[in-house]
Order: sequence, then structure tokens, then C-alpha cells
Amino acid sequence: MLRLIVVRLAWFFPTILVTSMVLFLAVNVIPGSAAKAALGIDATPQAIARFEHELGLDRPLYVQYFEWLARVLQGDFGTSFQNRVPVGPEILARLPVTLELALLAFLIANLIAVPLGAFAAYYHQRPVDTVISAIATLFGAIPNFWMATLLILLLGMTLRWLPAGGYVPFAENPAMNLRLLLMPALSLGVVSSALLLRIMRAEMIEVLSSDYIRTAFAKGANPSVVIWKHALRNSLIPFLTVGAVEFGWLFGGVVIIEDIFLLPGLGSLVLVGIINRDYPVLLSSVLVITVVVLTLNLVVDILAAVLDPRQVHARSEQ
Amino acid sequence: MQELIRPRRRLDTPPVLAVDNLSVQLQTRQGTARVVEGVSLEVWPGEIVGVIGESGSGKTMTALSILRLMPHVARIVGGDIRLSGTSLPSLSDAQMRKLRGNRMALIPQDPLSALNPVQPIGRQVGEPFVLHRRSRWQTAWEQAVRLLGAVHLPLPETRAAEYPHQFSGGMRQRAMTAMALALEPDLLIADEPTTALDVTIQAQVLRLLGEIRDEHETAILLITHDLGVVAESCDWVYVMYAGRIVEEGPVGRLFAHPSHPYTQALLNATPSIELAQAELAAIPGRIPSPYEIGPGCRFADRCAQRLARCAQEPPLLPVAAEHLARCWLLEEVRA
Repeated sequence: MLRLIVVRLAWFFPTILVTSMVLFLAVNVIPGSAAKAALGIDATPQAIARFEHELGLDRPLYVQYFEWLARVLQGDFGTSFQNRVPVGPEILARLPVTLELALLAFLIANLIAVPLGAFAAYYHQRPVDTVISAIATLFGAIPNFWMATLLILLLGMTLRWLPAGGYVPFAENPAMNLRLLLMPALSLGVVSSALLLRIMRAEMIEVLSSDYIRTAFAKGANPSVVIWKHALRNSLIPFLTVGAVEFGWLFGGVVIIEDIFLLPGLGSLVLVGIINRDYPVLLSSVLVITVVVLTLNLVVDILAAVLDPRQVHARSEQ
Repeated sequence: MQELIRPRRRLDTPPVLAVDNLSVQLQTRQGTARVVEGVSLEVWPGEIVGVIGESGSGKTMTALSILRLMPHVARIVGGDIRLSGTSLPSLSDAQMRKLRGNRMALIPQDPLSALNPVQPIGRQVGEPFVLHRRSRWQTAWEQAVRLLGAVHLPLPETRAAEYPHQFSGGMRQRAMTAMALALEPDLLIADEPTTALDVTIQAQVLRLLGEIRDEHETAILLITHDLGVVAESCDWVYVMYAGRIVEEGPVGRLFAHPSHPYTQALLNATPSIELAQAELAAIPGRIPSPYEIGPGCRFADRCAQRLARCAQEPPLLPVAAEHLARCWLLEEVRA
């Protein structure tokens, strides 16, 4: 158990380092230039050269990378090319919005996936299973931005149940905060639930066909005791790992969804960074998102191990 | 007056388990599989009754049908199952749940896969108290420790908190037995309880079943493919082949005078110490598929003593008092 945590932690930092390299490279390889974005397409070659020299963009890529890395490690995320404000505080202010949205979306995805997946598995190869599997396929096929548009049209414009966009911090007005985040979280969560539902269903089918489930029935347990007390924990062990990956995917959706719902989160900052070729903004936001996702993966790996006594005892047996 | 061969049979009470002309079919894409057909058997209090047959003989499906734990493609299409006189097929699922783990319990084949890997042993052994007696978990745990001690598991207090993967095969089967015994059921169904175990552990588990029978007058239905297990522990035996009972009788009598060619072949195919040097006789051919069963004797294709009339299936014919076999040869001998 302890060994597992140490191994995972030992991999954690190299992974982030490699990710940062890939990120830096990717951002610099995409077509377009920061100078043209900042100065406009009419900018003279001299103005562009001056802009790039001032910001150090004319130096070799590896020099730029190590300089950026050194600053980031000291907590300095640089200043925006576009409006010359420090990126660090901006990210810090926007991170809670994105975290709340992602967690809420993930919660919704699981609230759909776990019970429906378990239900479908229990009625494996019967009509209920077919219907639920069809719903999962449908959910998985919906692009999240289209889902968002539909929700705004239905819940925002026609029924006028929820505000169509905007943001209020949770500390200021919790009820309003949740009302504002519900639609964006639904757009992300419903789509994400599709894959999770399939995984839950598949794991649950396997677990339900195992002998210890028959033992539970042989003891006289009813189906709900069997599913929730005997089968769920066994299904959750593999499910969690996929869940962590899906959580990462969810962050990809955050970029567009935050823009649609006018949420001042990291996702919309990423979008601004891409459009303006504002490298410090783009790099730092994506790096922070990466760290969040990797941290979650780490936590999930450890949690999956805690859920499985065979792993907890793996050390003490040797 | 006829000698009473089945000593535990009583006239004042019904048997603990009476399976009467039971037929079970599987409905699958391949068609209808007749996996159990016209099976009748009885288990009386304090009796250990063996059901022996190779895989595909329908013995496990018979056991699961009694508990209503068969796969959902299986249907009971005929016959009756009575537990101390109560007809089970007519009960609702909720009524069946009240009986399972309470009045009748299962000891499964492979104790490792039959134990939940993520729950401590004590919790699993004590669970019947929570399910049927509405006990609190703490009481159930204390009962589990007591039961684990009763099945001779050393250090039951410590062991109860451990997980299945920390147990040896024999310990796991003891834990499964403790779980099945929890509420002192009238009927124990042991589905190949020794198959997954070492030979030395097998003997311990069989001895334990004997103890349970002696202490609680429990009726035990022992499903097995091992003639040695039957010889060692059973009072009465039913031989199953391709969904049919082909021979039944008291163990000593049946082993001394096997009267169905299948039973004879089965005995010849089993190694014994005296015959260690002799060649084992394998039974030629395979058990027929349950999807394609004809009107004749189901063993005819593999039978060395086949007759013309075997194209029609014989009924169970008397060999001696309470010893029956499903073979035309019995009439030939008499004629």
C-alpha cells in the first residue's frame, strides 16, 4: 500500500515535467504568431521584430522553455502579451470556477452512470438493458456544445427556469451560484455519463455473474442489498480508473462550455489565450489544468487501492 | 416383513426435501435444452444424500433449482420441490428469499470465488443474522466468530477480520460452511464442496459435514462427481446422467451391486487401491447434448450392453428393495 503511493508519487513529477515540454512545444508549433495577434495583421515587419525581441520570442525554443519553467517553478506565471497583466493571480481567481464546474459535471455524470449502469447490468440482455444502453449511446453521441444550446433554449429561454449564463461566486450567493452552474454542468455531465455508464454496466455484469454474488443471493439477500452492498464496491475498483480519465476529458469540454455560459473560468482563459496567441496565458492555464487532472488521477489510483483489500495487504503478505 | 433399508425415513413427517418429477429447461438461441428431466429425490433429516454425475448431467442445475438460483434462461417446466412439505415453485421471490440462507443454505464449489473479495470474512459469515433476524452488525459479527470457532477455524476472533485472500482453501471452505450453518438450516445443499480442495482438506470438510449432520440432524444434499466422496460420507445416492436419474439406492448396496451400465462404467473408471495396477476403463463417447435428446435410453450410445429395446427409454426398474435402476437389462435378467 505504502509502496504503491510512493511509486505513484515518484511518477507524478516526471509526468508533469514531460507534459510541460509537450505543451510548450505544441503551443509554439501551432500556426499564427503572438506578435501578429497582438499588433494586428497590418503590423510592419519592424514592429513585429521589436515585439518579439522585447518578449524574448526571437530566442531558441529550448532557452524560452527553460526560462519559462524556471519562473513557473518559482510561482511566476509571467505576464500576458495582450494586456500586460500578471497571469498568476488571474489563474488563481479563475481556478475555483472551473473546479466547481468540473466537479459538479463529474458528480452529475456519476449520478447518471452508476445507478443506470448497475440497473442495466442487473437486467442484462433484457429490454431494460437495451433501452439504457441506447440512451447511453445517444448521450455519448451528443456534442456538449449542442447539448448546451438545447438546454439554454429549453430551460433558459422557453421554460425560463434557469438563467442562461453568468457567474456568481458560491460564497456570495450559494443558491444563485448553483442555479448558474447547473446548465453548464449538465451539458458536460450528461455527455460524460455515456462512457461511464458503459463501463459501470460492463463491470457490474462481470461482478454480478461471479460466484460470490450467487452466495449473497443464497444467503437470502434481496437484489438491492446484493447490488449496493456486495457488487458495487467490486465494480468501483476498475470503474474509478476510467472515471479519472473521463474527468480529464471533461476538462476539454470546459473550454467551450465556459465560453457559451459566460463563466469566468480557466477554460475561457484558455480560449482567449489561443485566439490571441497569448502564450503565457495559454501555457499556464493548460499547465494548471494538467496538474489538476494528474492530481485527481493520483488520488483515484490510491482510492482504488484502498477499496481493494487485496492491494492493501499485498505488502504485508510478502 | 421387508427390511427398512432407508433408516431415517419416517412416516410421521414429510422429508426435509422432496423433489418430485422435476424438469428444468434452458431457453437459449440454440433452442431448448432439457437439462433436468423427471428427477425425483428425497432427503430425510440427518441424512447425507449424494447426487453423482459427470459435468452436464444436470446435478448442479437440480441443486440450483431447489434454491431458485439457476441462470435466468432456466425454467422449471414441470414437477414440484417441497421443503418440509411446502411447495417451493409456487412461492414468490420474496418468500423464497426468506427461506434461502435461513431454512436451506448452499455450500458452493469454489470457496475462493464464492467469497466476496472486498468484505472481511466475519461480515460475510454473519450476514444471514442481519438479513433474516434483523440483528445488528455487531451481534452478527459475534455470531460469525462463534460459528468460525464451531467449524474448527483456529483464532476465530482474529480470522474474522481478515479477507478471503488471506485464507487457505480449507479455511475458506470452513468459512463458507460456517456461513451456510449460521441459522441452522434444515437443508444444506453442498455443490461439489471438495472439488477445489487438496485431498487432505477434502477429508476434513467431509468430516465436518458429518459432524453437522450428527449435531443438528441437518439434511444434506451432496452434489459431486467423486465416487470416493459418496462412498465416504453418503447414506443414499442418486446417479444422474444427461438430466435423468439412472440409478438410486443405499450407498453400500449400490456400490456392491451397480446395476446400470453407466454406474458400472463409473465405478470401473475410478482408481482404487486394490486395482492400482489395473488399467482404468474410460467410458467411450460423450454425454449427449441437452439440445438433442432422443426418445431412447440416454446412455445407449456409450453402452456396451445395448439392446434393441434401448431405442425406447426404460423407467426406473427395481433391482432390490429401494434400489432402482433405469435399464432394460433388469427385465432381461428376470425373463
